[in-house]
Amino acid sequence: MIFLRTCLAAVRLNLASLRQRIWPALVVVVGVACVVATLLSMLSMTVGLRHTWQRAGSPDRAIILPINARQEGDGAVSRAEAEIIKDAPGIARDAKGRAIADPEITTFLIVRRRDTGGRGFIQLRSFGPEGLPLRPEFRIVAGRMYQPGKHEMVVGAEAPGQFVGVGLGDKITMPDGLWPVVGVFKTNDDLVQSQLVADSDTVMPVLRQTGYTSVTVRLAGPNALAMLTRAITTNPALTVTAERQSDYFNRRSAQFSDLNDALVYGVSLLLGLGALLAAVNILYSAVMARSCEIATMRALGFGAAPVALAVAAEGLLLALAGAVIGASLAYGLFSGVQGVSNNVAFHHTISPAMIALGLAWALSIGLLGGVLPALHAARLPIADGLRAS
Amino acid sequence: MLRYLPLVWAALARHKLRTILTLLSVTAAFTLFGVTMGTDAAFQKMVDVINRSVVVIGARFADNMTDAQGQQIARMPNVAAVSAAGAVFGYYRNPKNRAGIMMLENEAGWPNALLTPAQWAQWKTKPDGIFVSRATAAKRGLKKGDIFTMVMSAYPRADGSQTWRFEVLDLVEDTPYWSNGVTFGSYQYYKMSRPVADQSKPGWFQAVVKDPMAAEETAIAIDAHFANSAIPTESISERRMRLDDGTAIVNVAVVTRRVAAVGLFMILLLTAHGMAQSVRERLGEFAVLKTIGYSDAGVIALVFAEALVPAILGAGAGLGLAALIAVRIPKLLPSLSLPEPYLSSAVIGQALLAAVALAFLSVILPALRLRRLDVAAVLAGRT
Repeated sequence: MIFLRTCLAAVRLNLASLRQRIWPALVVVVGVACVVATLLSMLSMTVGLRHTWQRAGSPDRAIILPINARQEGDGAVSRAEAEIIKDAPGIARDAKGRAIADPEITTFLIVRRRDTGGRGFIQLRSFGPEGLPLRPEFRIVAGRMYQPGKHEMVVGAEAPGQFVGVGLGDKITMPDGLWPVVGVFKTNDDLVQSQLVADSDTVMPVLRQTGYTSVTVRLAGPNALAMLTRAITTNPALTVTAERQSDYFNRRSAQFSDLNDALVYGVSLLLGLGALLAAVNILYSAVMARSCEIATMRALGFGAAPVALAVAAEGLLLALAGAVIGASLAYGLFSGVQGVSNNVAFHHTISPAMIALGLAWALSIGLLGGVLPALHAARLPIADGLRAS
Repeated sequence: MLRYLPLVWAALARHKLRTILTLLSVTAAFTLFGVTMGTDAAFQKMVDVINRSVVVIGARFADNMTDAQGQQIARMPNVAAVSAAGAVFGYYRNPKNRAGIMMLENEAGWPNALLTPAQWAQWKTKPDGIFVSRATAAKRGLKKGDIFTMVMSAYPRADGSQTWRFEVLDLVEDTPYWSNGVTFGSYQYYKMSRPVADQSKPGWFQAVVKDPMAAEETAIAIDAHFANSAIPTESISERRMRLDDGTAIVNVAVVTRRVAAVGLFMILLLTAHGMAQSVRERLGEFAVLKTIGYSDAGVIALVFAEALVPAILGAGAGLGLAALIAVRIPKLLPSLSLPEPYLSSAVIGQALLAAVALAFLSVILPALRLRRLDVAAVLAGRT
C-alpha cells in the first residue's frame, strides 16, 4: 500500500516537472502520432479494400467455375453445362420450383479513369432471370432497372466516381452501338457496386460469347455445398467445380491484401523503430537533466522502483497522447474516403480494433522507450546526482 | 577547417549513447526513404526504358484479332513493322504452379523483347524453343537445354492434346519491364500447332512506328480504321499502357512519397531537438570559443558539422540497408508486381540532399541562439 502511494507520488512529481520539459515531451508525442497516423492510414486502405471484396461473397451462395479457373473470366461454362448445373441437388428452389441459379457473363469494357485520365477497365456483369432473387442486397437507388431484351444497363453507385461517362443517362459503347445507363444500383457496399450490370441473354450475342463466365447459385442448406460438389464433379458432362462464394472472395482478396499487409507492417515497423529510438533518446536526456532532482527524491526516501516507474510512466503517457492524436488525425483524414484499386472503389475503414492496434503499437514504443532510462534513473548514485549541479 | 574536426568529434563522443541513438533513428528513416523512393524510381525506370515507338493493338471488346487486321495495320502510315502476339497460360508440373508464355512473331515488331539477333535466329531452327528470363528460371529451377512441359487446358493443340512441350534455348536478362520474370515463345510455332479454326486469331498485335512522337496519333488512326469492322480495336502506346497499369493498383508513387515524408519529418523533429539540447548544455563552451576568437560563423559551422555527421552517416547506412532489403521486396509482395527498389543516383542524391537539409533545419534554432549569445553573461554563469 505504502509502495503504491510512493509510486503515485513519484509519478505525480515527475509529471509536475513535465511542464519544464514541454518541448522534448512534444517531440515524443508528435513522433508517436506520426507512427500511429501512418499505420492507421495505410491499414485503413488495405482493410477497406479487403472488406469491399469480402462483402461481395455470401456463405449462402456458391460460385461454379470451370475446372482450373482461378477466377471469373478464366474459361467458360457452356449453355448446356449451365442447364445441367441447374438440376443439381443442393441448389435452393423458389416457390415455382425453379433453381435459384444464375449464369453470369463478365467482361471488361474500356473507359476513361477520372483520377489520371488514363485507360481504365470497368467490369460488365450480366444477370439472368434469377439474378435478383439470388441477390437480395441488390437494389435500384436512382432511375430504373434495365428491361431484359433492351440494349440498356444499370451502373453501380461507386462507378461514376472513378470512371468518366458511366453515370445515369450516359451511353456505354458496346460492340453493336451505344447502350444507355438507365439506373443506378447499390449492393452490399461491395465490389459489384463499381460495375455495370445488364441482362445475360441480351449481352451474350452482342459480345459474341457462346458460354457463361460462371454460374452462381443459392445453397439449399448447411450440407448443400457438399451435395452440389459431389453432383457436378461426378457428372461426366460437366468440367466445373463449386466453391462457397464467401470463400471465393476471401481467397481472391487474400491475394493482394496479404502483401499489402506486409507492406503496411514493414513500413510501420521501420517508422516505429525510429520513434522508439527517439523516445529512448529524449527520456534519457530527461533523466540526465533531472539527475539532481531524482537524487533528491531518492534522498528523501523514495525507493528505486517508484522512481524508475515514474520515468516509465512518463514514456507511456507521452506515447498514449501521441497515439490519441495520431489516431484522431488518421480517422479525421481518411475514414470513409473513397479510394480506387484495380478498378474497384473502396472506402478507407478505421475500426475500433485498428485503433486498439495503433494504441498497442504506441504503448509498446512508450514502454520500450522508457525501460532503459528508467533503469538508469533507478541506478543513479544518490551522492553523484546531488553533486551534479 | 581541420582544426574543427577534433571539436566535432569531441562533441559527438561526449554523449555516445545520444549520438548512437540519433544515428540509428536517422538510419531507420533513410532505410524507409531508400525503399520507398527506390520503388518509385524503379517504376520510373520501367517507364523510361520503354521503347517509345511501340504501339499495342488489341480488340476493343474481349475477343481475338485476325491475321487480316495485322496486314492492314502494316500498311498504315507511320507503321514500320507489325508482330502478332499471344499470351498462353497453364501450369507446370502442378496445377498450383501457374505459368504463362508470351508468344512473339518477329524481331522487327518486338524491340522490347531484348532478345539478341542470334537468339531470334535460333528460333528459326528450333521453333518449339523458349527463352526464359533469369528470375523465372530461378523460380522454376530451369536451365539452358531443359524441357519445359506445360498443361494448357484453354489452349488445346490441333490433335486435342493440352500438353505443350518446349525446350529452354537460353536464359535472357531480366528487365524492370517484366519485373517478375517472363518467358518468350515462338508465335509461328504456337499458331501452327493449334486447331485450324484458331490459327489466324492472334491475341493482339504490336506495331513499331517510324516516328515515335506520333505514336499516339497512329494509335488513334488504327482505331479509327477498324471502328466499323467486325472487331474494333483499342490501341495504345506501350508507354501510356504501362503508366496506366502502374497507377491502377494503388498510386504507388503518391503513397510512398507520403510515407517517406512522414518518416523524415519525424526524424527531423528528433534531430532538431537533440541538437538544441546539446547546444543548450554547452553554451559555456561556445562562449569560451567565441572569447578566444572563433567567429559566429565558425561556431555555427561547428554545430552544423555536428548535426551533419550523424545525418550523412545515417543516410548512408539507411541506403545500404535499403539496398539489402531491396532484393527481397518483389518476393515479399509478388502480386503487387512491385519492381525491386532501384537506388538510382537520383535517389542517392535526394537522400544526401535530405540529410543535409535535415542537419541544416535542425541547427537553425540553436544557431540563432548562438548568434545572440551574450558571452559575458554566459561566462559569468548568469544564464
